[in-house]
Amino acid sequence: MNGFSGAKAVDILEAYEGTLEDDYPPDNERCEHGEMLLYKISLLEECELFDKALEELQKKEAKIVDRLAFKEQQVSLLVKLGRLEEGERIYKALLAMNPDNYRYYEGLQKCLGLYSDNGQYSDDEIGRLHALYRSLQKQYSWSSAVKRIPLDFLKDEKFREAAENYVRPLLTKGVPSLFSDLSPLYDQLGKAEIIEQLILELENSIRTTGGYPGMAEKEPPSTLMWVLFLLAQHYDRRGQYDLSLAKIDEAIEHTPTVIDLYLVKGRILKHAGDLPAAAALADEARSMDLADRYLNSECVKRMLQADQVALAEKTAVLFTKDGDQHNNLHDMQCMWYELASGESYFRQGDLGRALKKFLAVEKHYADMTEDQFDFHSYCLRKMTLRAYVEMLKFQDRLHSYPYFHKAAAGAIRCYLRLYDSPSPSVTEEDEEMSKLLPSQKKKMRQKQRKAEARAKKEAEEKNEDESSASGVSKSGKRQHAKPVDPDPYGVKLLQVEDPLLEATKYLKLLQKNSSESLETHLLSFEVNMRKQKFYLPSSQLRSLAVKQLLRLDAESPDSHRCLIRFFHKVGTMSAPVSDSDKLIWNVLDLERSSLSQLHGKSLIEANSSFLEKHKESLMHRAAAAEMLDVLEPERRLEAIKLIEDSVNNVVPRNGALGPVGEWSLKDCVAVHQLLKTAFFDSDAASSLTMFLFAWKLFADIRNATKLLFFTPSGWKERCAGYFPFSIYFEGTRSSVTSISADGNICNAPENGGNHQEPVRSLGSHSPNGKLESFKELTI
Amino acid sequence: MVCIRQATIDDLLAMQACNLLCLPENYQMKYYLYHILSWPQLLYVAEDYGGRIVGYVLAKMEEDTSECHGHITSLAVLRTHRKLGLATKLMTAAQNAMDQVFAADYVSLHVRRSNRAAFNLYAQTLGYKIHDVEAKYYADGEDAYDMRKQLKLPNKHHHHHHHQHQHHHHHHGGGCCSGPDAKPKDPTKPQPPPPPAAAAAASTAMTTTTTTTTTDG
Repeated sequence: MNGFSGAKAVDILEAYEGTLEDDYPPDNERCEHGEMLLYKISLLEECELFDKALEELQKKEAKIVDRLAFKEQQVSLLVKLGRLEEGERIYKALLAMNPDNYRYYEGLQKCLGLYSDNGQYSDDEIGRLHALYRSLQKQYSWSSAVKRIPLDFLKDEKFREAAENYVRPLLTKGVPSLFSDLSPLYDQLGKAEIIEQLILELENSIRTTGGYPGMAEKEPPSTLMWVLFLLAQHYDRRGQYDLSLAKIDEAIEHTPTVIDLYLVKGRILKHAGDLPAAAALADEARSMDLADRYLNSECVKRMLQADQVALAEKTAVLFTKDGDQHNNLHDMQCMWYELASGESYFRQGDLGRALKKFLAVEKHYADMTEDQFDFHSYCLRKMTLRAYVEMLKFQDRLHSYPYFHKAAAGAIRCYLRLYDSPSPSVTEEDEEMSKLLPSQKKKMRQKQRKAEARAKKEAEEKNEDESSASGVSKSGKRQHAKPVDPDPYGVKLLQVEDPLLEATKYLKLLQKNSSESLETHLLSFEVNMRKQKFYLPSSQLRSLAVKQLLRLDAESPDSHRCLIRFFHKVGTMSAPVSDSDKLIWNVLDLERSSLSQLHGKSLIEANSSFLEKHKESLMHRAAAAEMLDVLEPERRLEAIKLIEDSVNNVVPRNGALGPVGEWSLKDCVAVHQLLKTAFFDSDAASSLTMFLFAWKLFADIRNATKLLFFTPSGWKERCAGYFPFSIYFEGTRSSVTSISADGNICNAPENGGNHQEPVRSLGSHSPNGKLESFKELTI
Repeated sequence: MVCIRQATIDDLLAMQACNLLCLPENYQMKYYLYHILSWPQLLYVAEDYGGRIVGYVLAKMEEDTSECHGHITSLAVLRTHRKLGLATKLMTAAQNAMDQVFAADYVSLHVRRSNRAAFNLYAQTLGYKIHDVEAKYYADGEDAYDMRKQLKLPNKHHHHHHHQHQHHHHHHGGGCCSGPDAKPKDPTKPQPPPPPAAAAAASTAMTTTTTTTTTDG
């Protein structure tokens, strides 16, 4: 709002106030009147008339019913006017009303000049903060916040002492969220080590003396279990899955009836890479309390992560009213479920059903946009003007929420894949047709048409039967026959004429609402590469995906890939003919020379210097190797060696416990997929074509053979060593190898076991064409 | 630990997600919008260190009766965040706002007969009493306890504006309890609107449950 319209609005509100009898609203409208006054003051604040706003607020104090809103408005104005001592007083009053609101503590610290955005404080400041919170703790002994906040700023021995005092009573009480409460501290250097050490000491003390160190009284037996529970989550966070599982197993053995233990064990197994086992654990937890929907939801989520979609649906249905789970979850806008099942369908290559789920989420957002219209006149009459204005602003940013972003990104990925490999049924049919003689083709087509007509007629008859049956119902129960989903498999969604056009629709929404997300521009890049859209008018050059990516994160492996692929593609295009094309070509040339990454360098040189700069990082090496292969396919073996020579450095730890490498499971899986899809074409490997291709490429039978027999199995074995619980790498301790002596691991074949297996791109046969498909950004 | 604060409009999506994770009674976004646009003071959330919403209370003022009272539409705390007293803190915050802003006489809520944990929280920790039993209140046929907690003693006036409400029934629903149907019918003023269609439809299924335990307090 600009100053003028703000002032205008204030005038109107004051004119309205002037109409009140005795300058006082009727008793039954005091609330509305107070809201109106608060709105007026917020307008003054927005126009930066802080003095006037505060004056008005204080003048109308008696008429503002909402005391909390009054105080919050007052303190906001006082702080903006620099009247910090008064601000301090109000914040203390607010804390007396609600000592668990972190924002009041933050405000109080700001008023005292004891606040820093990055949480870094001098020793002197830490001392003063410590004293402040000690005095606050005396006043608000029932507040949890006042006890927890000092752990954020204290250091070393003081931190250790405070942390120990903090965790002891919570372990005795058995607070399941203790780890999640402590976990932000792990981002601060050294604190994780201190926490580990102190929990181990508590564990040791309870095991040997039955109580905490230095305490005469004994702890109840449950304390040891909660200590083990905390330790398990600690090791999980540190990537030490074997230790983590040992601790949680001991906790379960200690008290087999505590459901939280199974939930956490499921989570650990998920992190360690054994998704079916994680789902089985979550299902076990669910069966321990069937009335708890949270347990059901957690289980459904794990099943979807393990690509057991059918089982997940059957489980979710247990909590929907009429048993018609799909509609109910959809009607209630259960977006996490729709996204998770869309992602699972996508992994399994079922693009139709994946799209259906992603578009369902998109529809919820359209509905929410629609929702606002019912409230326009409602709020004006109800006088909830501040909330109303917030709603209008909220609607403007609605599409920047993560669920929408995920849904749109998921849909775009479906359309990209659809474009790369049009639905298999169509292609197979075409292939069969192409083998036939023209006369045979004609007969085939006639036959098909007849069959289609017959099927259609049958379906119509069936529908009529059903509608008459439900109309004149015998039992009276079928009057509201559920609308049958006409396209349960999303087949119609796959029949779009131009997948890229559809993708562009969602891309535009992402560009508008999530322009700060790397993923948005990666998708934009993929769409535009396929559209062969390089010659942007110069006015649009700003929005060039590559430029956006470099702006957001120039060092990201994905930004590097896009940069190289883009200019490589431009370089291989035929020279422009028309004058306007030439102009754009020149502009693009200019752009290229303005990029520091490419300044005075060939693409090959740029790729080498990127590698040199980031040679310690697995993902950067993989990106450089892939680009090396794009730029110089004859150096493919070298590219593969680049990846294979990467070193998994051991993360230094204080403790003497098992060493853990820096590589993450996710990255290792991504690299394996890269090796498989980009460098090793398993489809063609068995055929002579690949051999001939390799031979031609190398003109050297030895290298050709080497390439021909290259499989990423070496990588797989190596990673199975790092991640012994990983199903993907078939680690020795995963449920795939140590399977079901206990029969717990259910892995129905129709649910697809090995979910991370990427669906091979069927489309392009050029090695470069394959490169896109590996880059499944996790959604 | 966990921050307890008034909900903003940006919390609604997360509140809906939290509800869908925990409870069998669910609502469309419009119903959440209806609450925050009608009684913004009565929605509270519990937010963890990472900004995740781990619990909420969604409450309203009942405006179709002569008595001014609040109603807890829905309360949930994630199972992972039990034993922190979050439900108690959320409920206390909403009740205080009902009392302070809307001068409510009492608060009501519904709870499943079988939900012992929630019942204990309401009865023991928060001081609610069974007012009635509503047979087959829930969609699956289960009965609900209609529970109430008195916020102020009868005939004891904490608020000047509340005074009117006690004695002049032609001004029924006075104080700030001035929703659609409770307002005096003044022909010179535009009639207050009914709640938005979907919200009204959803409110027929309106229920209150909680999955919190009662070890707090």
